[in-house]
Amino acid sequence: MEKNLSDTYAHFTEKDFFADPYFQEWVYNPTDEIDNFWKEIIAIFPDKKGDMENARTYLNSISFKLDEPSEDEIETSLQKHLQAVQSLQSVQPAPVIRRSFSRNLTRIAAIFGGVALITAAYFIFLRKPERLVASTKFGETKHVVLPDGSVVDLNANSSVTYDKDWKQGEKREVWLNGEAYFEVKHINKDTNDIQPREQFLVHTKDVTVTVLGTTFDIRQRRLKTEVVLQSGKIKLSFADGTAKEMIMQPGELVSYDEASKKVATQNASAEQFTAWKQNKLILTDPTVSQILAYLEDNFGKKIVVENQSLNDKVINGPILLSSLDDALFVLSTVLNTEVIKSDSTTILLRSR
Amino acid sequence: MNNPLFQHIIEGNIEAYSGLYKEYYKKFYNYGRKFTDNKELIEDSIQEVFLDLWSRKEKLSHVESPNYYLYSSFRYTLLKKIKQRDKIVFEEAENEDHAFSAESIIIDKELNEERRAKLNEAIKSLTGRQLEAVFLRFYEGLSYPEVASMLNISVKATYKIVARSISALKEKILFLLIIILEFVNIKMK
Repeated sequence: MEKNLSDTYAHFTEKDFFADPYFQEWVYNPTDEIDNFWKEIIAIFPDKKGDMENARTYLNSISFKLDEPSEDEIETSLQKHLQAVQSLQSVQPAPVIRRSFSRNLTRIAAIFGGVALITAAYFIFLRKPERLVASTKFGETKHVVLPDGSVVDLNANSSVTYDKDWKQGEKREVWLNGEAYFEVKHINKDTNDIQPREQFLVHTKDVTVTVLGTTFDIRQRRLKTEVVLQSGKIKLSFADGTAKEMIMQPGELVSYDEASKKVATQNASAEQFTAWKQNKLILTDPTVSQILAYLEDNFGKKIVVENQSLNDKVINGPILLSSLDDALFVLSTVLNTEVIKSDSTTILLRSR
Repeated sequence: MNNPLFQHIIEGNIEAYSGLYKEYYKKFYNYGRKFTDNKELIEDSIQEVFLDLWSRKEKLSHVESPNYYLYSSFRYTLLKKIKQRDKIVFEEAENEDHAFSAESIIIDKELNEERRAKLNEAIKSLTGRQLEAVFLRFYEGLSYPEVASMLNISVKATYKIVARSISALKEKILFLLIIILEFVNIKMK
């Protein structure tokens, strides 16, 4: 036993004491028993006393951030829950009916009723919707028609997931990775009074777009999601709780940065933003490094400019995206570089 | 068996149940945010855990620790939902476990710079599970064996040693015993 203990503690550093649950117990929740134990350890390893004191100071200097919901949130959730509980109770099976010849018929009816109820509940609550995924490879775009008639143009290296068996009257919901242009089919009658089942939701990692009939572009790359609204009306909500929901106006570009958790709004031309659909790239005052990042995301090749000072140069005018070679041709003409394919994954732009 | 917390619920007392719901809503909201910023997933998980609790209330008298029961159900449900969402959003499930984020730790402002740097390093060396264990044990009041079983970590050896409540005296006797044994060992060689 003594040997065990010396094995355990002889090489302990302050970090190890800090991480040791029983040491933590001594700091936060001491009892006589624990106190005796650690005093004994100090007696055996007097040179560890300093480390132990440091670890104690550390443990006393940390606390956990407190995330509190508002009273409103709690109350809303409780009401929602009580309703759910109530509907649960109405689905409770009927009490067992005593055996009797005359009641057999009722029993059978009750069983059938129960079966029907369970089947209904299965279809309503448990049926796992079958999902389809449409995706594009690097350098490829795709035109996808969703079950409700809405159209999605997928940019390169992107995917969209949607319910295969969408039915009239159900909420429409898709999940996007990458970039796509949406033309959502209008099914609501009064734009000022949108029913939940008339909504069309697009989720990315960080942002949810709630749509009425409308056209917009959403670009989720690396740590950023950008949405440009061409026409109609959409609502944005953010997975991160701090940013507030917002309604977008046509011609606006809203970007969300995952790292800083900041939302920024600016004016943008949707035609320019969605120029990729015509195989053109138009960004507003883009630097070379921004263009290269875009090409990397869409063609999957690492592109490096040898002369790094060129990275901050701003290039205006459309860049052809019909192929990576076309795009690189335009770029290297403007930058006066030659294109060197050093290996299958990396492309080098070297000044002439 | 004897848990007044669940007793009211077993009896179908909706007021007591609402109180319990609100109390744990706050706790789970706080706990859940240490894993994810997505409030919807947390809300859905709380609803699910309590709906399940209510529909099984007749069987609750077997639950020994209601607090542990609720915490472990919530953790299981939330992590499942986070994984499912990742599967849809990122196409393939990320293999890494969703862990307690070190960002949820606040360091006392009083601490001097040198010690702060060392402490930061010590925090970084902890795994998400170790952080979570501290949170559950000392902030949420679960027992260490409960925490260990919830996080699927082993109960530390020291815990087992002490559970046998070895007094200092006993340890000294053992110490002697070991010396004698080693002595005999050497002699036998």
